[in-house]
Amino acid sequence: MNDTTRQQWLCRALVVTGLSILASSYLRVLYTAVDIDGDPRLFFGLVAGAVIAGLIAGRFVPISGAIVSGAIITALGSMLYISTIPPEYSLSLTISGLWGDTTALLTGMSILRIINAGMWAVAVAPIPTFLVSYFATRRQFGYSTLIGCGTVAFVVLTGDISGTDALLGVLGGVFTLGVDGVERRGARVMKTDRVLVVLALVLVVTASISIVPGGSAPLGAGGSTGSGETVEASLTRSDDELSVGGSIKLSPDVRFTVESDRESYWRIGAYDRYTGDGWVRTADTHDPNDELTGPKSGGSKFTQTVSPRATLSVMPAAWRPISVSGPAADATSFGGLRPEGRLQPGDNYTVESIAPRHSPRELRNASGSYPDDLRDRYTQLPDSTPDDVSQYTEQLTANAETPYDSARVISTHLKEHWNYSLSVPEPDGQVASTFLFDREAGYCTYFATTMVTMLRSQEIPARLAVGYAPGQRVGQNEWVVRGLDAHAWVEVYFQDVGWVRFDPTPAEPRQQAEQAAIAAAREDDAANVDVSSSDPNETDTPTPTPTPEPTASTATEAADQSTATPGDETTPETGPASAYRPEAFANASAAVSDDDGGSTVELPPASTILFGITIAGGLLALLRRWGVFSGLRRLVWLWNLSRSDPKADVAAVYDRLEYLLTREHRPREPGETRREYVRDVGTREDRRLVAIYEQVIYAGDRSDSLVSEAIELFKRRRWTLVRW
Amino acid sequence: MTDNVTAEPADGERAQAIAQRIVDNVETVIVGHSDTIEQIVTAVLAGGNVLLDDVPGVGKTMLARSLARSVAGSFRRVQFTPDLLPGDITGVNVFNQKTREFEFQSGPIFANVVLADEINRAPPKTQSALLEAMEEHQVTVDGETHPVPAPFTVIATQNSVAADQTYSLPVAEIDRFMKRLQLGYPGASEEAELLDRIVGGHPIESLSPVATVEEINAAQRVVSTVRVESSIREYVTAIAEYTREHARLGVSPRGSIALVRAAQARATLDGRSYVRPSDVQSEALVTLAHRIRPTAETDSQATVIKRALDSVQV
Repeated sequence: MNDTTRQQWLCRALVVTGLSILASSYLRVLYTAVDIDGDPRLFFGLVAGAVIAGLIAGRFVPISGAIVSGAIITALGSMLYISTIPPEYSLSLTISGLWGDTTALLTGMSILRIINAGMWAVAVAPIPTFLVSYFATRRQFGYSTLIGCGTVAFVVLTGDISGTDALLGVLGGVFTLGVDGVERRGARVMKTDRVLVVLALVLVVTASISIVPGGSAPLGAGGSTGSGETVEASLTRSDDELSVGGSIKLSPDVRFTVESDRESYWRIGAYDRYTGDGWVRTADTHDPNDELTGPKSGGSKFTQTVSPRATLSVMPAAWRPISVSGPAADATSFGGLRPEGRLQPGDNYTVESIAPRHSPRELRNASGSYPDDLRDRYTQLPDSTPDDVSQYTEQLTANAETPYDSARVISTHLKEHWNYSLSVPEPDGQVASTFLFDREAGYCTYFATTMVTMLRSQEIPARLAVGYAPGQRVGQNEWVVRGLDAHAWVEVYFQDVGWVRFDPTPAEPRQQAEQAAIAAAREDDAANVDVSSSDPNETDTPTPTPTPEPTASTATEAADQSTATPGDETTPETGPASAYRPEAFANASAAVSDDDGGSTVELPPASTILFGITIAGGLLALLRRWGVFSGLRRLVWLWNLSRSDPKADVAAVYDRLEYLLTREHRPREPGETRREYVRDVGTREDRRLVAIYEQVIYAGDRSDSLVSEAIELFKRRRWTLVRW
Repeated sequence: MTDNVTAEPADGERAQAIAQRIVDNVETVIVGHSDTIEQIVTAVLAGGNVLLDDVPGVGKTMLARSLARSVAGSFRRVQFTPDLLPGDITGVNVFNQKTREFEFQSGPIFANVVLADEINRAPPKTQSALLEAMEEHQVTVDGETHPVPAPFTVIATQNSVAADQTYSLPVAEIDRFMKRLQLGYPGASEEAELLDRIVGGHPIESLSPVATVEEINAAQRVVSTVRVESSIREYVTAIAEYTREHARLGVSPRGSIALVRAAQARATLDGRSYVRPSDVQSEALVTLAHRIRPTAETDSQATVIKRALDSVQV
C-alpha cells in the first residue's frame, strides 16, 4: 500500500468517524423515544439495515433510484407507524392533524409526546440513515452531512436533543466536511490540524456564548446551583415535560391564596410517559377525551376560589374539578385545568370540585384488569429500566394481594427507608434504580417517580401528578401557597374507581426543609414571602410583614393535622399524605434540568472528555500551526551543545549557525559550499567558524582548542536570535 | 631558476611552489586563460592527461608546448594525420643487422610530455595506440612491455570544427583523459596584449624549464597524499550518481577517481593538505563533462554538470 493510498484510507476512516458521530447524535435522540416506548431490537435492526442498504445502493443505484428508495422507505415507515396508532387517535391522522403535528414538532413539541413515539422513531430513523450512508458510499460527503445535520436540526427544533448531543452532531459534520475538503485538495492528512482548530473554536465559542442554546452544557462545568431556577419551576411550568434533576432550591415567594371549604392538594396536572430521567405528557393536544367529569365513585362537592398573587401559567385546583368560572380555561386529558393565557394577580377563579370518596375495601376489590389502551399508556416503562427495580418491587410486594395493597406497601416502604433531601446529585441513568439502590435521599419527584416506576413494573397503572401542597393555613378557610409548596405525587388507577392519590414522600422532613426556607427568606427581608391574610395587596411590600402563622404555630398545626387526611383522598391509605399538610413546601420536585448538585467526584461524562480532548487537540494544532512547538524545539536545540567528539561538535555548531543564517538571510543553496555561503551572508565570526569547520572536518584537525573556539563563537552568536 | 630554491619547506609547500612556478612560467607565453593554465598544471600534478578541444588558432598547441618547455623533461610532439599508424606512435621492433636481433625502436610516446596534435584526424586504431600508455604508463609492442618515463602526460588537441574530416574519439579513449579543456577566444584587451608580445620574437622561444622531472614526481606524490574526507568522497559520488541519473551516459568510476585526483592537485596548488568542497566544484566541470552523453539533444555536457553541482547538496 503506497503512501497516497494510505492517505486516502486514513481520510476515509476519519470521514466515516465524523459521519458516525453525526448520525449517532440524532439516532441517540430517536433511540431515547424507542427505549421509552418501542422495540429497540427493531430499531437497531432497521438502522443497521438502512446503513447496509445505503452502502449497497450507493454502489449500484443512481441518484434517482436513491430518491425513489428513500421515498419507499418513508412510505413503509409511515405505514408501519400508522398501523400501530391506537384507533382513538386516528383523528390526528387528518391532513390538518398531521400539519398541526409537524408544526408542533418544529416549534418545540417533544417527539416523546407523539402518541406512539417509539414506533414513530423506529419508522423515521432509517430514512436519514439510509441517505447518509448512500451519499457517503458515493463519496458525496457534503450531502451526507447536510442530511445528517438536517435531522439533527429537526430534533433540535423539537427540543429533544441535549446541547451536548447537538454539539457533537455539528462537530461530527464539521469534521466530516473538513477532512473531506482536506482530502479533496490533496493535502496531507496532517493538515487536518486546521479542522481541529475549527472544531475547538466551535466548542469554545458555543461554550462561552450563553446565547447559544445548550451552550454551557457541553463542558459539564455547570455551577453547583442553577442560577435562578427553583424546584417549583419544573413542576408548575405549563410545559409538557419534566425532568428529574439534581439539587434544587425552594422559592419562598407566595404564588396564590385559596379560599376553600376544605384542604386539598392543589393539583395542576399529571404526566403519563416516563423517559427514565423525566416525564412527558403525550398527545395532550389531540386527546378527544378532554372534559371535566366527576369521579366515578362519587364524592363530596366543594368549591375553591384561587387568587393568584403572581403570574401563573397554570391553574391549580383541587382534585377532581368539574367546573371552573373566571378566566377562560381548558380541561386536559389528565383531569386538570389549563388557562388560556397567563393568570395575573387579580384573575381570581372559582373551581367546583368533587372530592372522590372511596373506602379501602372498594379499592381492594377493584379489578386487576384494565382497558388495553389505559394499561399500555400507564404501565409504560423504558426498555432500559433495569430488571432489578422489578425484582425488588416483586419481593417487596410479595404478600400484597391487590394493586391497592402493593401501592400501600411501596408508599410506606419508600417513606420509611429513604430520607428527604433537596441536595442530591443528578441521577446517572434511571431515576428509579438510582434512587432505589444508590441513594439514600431525594425529594418528592424522586419518591413519586420511583413509586410510579415500581408500580408500573408490577403492571399497575400509575402516573405522576404535580401541583402544590395545601400550603400554609392562615384562616379557617384560607391557605397561602408558596413556590416551595410545589409538589409531586402519585396517582394510581383503580378500575371502576379512577385515579387515587398516593404520596410516598416523607412529610416531616419536607416540611422542615420548607420551614427553613421560609424562615431564611424572612430573615433576608425578601419580598413576597408572606401575605397578610386580610390584605392581599401587601404582597409587594418588601418589609417582612408579621407572618400570619409563626413558625412554631405551623409546626403545631402540622402535628395537629397529621391525622387529618388531605381533603382529596379519603382513603385511609392517604394517611401518610396527610402528614404533608401544613405548610408544606413544595417538595421539591422535579428539578429543573440543570440544577445539578455536582458533589460527586466521578469521572466527567464521556462527552465532556471528548470535548476536552477536542479542545486540547485544537489548541495543540493551533500551537503547532503557529510553530510554537518547533520553535521551542529549535530553542532547546540551539542552547543544547553537548560535547562528544570534535567532528560531531563542530558539525553541530555549524548546523546551528546555518539555521541562524537561514533565518536571518537565506538558506544555503544545495551546491553552495559553506565557505561561499558565509562569505555571502555571514559575519567575520561566522567565516571564522566555517574556517574552523573546514579545518576540523576536511583537514582532520581534531584539536580541542578549535572546537572550543567554535563553540564560544557560536555561544555569542546565538543571541542574535533573540534580537531578531 | 630551477629547483631547491627554498631550504626545507614542507613537502606540500614545495609542491605548491613548483606548481605555482609552472603556472607563472606558462603565463609569460599565454595571455589570459589563467584558469586553463591552472587546470592543465593541476592535471599534470595529478598524473592525468589533458584534451584541449577548441576551434583552431586559439593557442591550444602553444599552451601545450609552453607547459612542456616549463618542465625540464623530454617532450615529443606527434602530428596526427589520417594515415598515421599505431607503430608511428609507440615505436616498432626493428631487425638489427649487426646483432642479428630485433631491437625496439621507441616511438614518440616515450617522453615526459607527449603532445598529440589534432588527435581526431587519425583513425580510431591509431588513436587507440595511446590508450595503454595513458592509463597504464606502459607500451606493449609485439608482446614486449616497455614503461614510459615518469612523469608522463599526454596533451592532446582536437579541432571541434570541420568534423567531416575527422574521427571522433571513442568513448573509451575520451574517458582516459583526466580533463578536457576549452580555451575560447581571448578578450579584446588580452588579444591586444597577445599581439604585443609576439612583436620581435615569439616568447616561447625564450621559455626555460622551471621544474625538474624529480620535482614533478615529488609533487605528484604530495598530491596523492592530500587528505580527502569521507564527506568529500560522498560528495563526489553523489555528483557522479546525479549524472548517471540525468544523462544517457553518466560519469564512470574512472571519472570519479579523476575528479578526486584533480581536487587533490587543486588543493595542493592552493597550498592545502586537504580537499575542500570548493576544490571538487572547481574541477568537476573539466574532469567530468567530456565523459557524459546527455539525454536530450538540447542539453550540453556542461549543463548537466552545472546542474549536478547546483542540485547535489554539498
